[in-house]
Amino acid sequence: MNTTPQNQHTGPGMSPDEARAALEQASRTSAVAPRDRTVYAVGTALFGVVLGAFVPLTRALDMDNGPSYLTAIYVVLAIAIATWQTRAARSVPRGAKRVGYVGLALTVVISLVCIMIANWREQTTPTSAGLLVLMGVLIAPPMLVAGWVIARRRG
Amino acid sequence: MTSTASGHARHRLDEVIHAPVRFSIVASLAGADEAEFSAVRDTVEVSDSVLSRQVSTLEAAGYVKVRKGYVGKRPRTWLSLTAAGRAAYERHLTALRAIADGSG
Repeated sequence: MNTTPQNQHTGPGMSPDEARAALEQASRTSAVAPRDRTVYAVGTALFGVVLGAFVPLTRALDMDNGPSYLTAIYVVLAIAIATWQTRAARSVPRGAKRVGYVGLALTVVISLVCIMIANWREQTTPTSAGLLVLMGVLIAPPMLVAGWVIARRRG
Repeated sequence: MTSTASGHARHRLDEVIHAPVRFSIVASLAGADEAEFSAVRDTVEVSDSVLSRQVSTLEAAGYVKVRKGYVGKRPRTWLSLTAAGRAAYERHLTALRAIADGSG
């Protein structure tokens, strides 16, 4: 009885050329359109910009109810960005949400640290415009970087 | 030669994923956390009914998860690979590479 490997075939058969063609096809096939990746990258970066502007502005405005209006505007913008992401993209690029959440977590931590430092300083000296700008510059980057990572990732 | 104790690489091909349309579906989902049914349909270039049937087979094998929901008032269906589906796809690709290299 012939028991060569060829005759022991019990699963699906495939020639090397067919295998190469399948691998080539796999590398070209993705439900993630470049537009979907752009939507998630831009949306994530926009979240960073909005939060980076929100925190310093709430500190800068000392008018009555100023921060409340700003919070309402911030919430509306955040919902608008999230809604746009959900509707404009037909797929979620692999890892995009995880990268976005890491960026958001870092941005929130930096925001809290900035607020704590500003509160501490305000006991003795008013917060300067330069410090407010610095807060925005520090708060936005994690989500900007997250957006950049999402945009650059492939597959 | 890198043949393993499990024999020729073709024995390591996943029979559920091996079918051409199912292979395309899994390949299209590999780069996504999840994708809309219509996006996969357009990528794989099959009809709704064919995609639905093949997705059911993949779902029964535990390789694909189907999630239904709404975007606004419009119903949507999202597809994603499960951890088992990703692992099976990686094993399948490894077997394909071995066959392509002639090392299976």
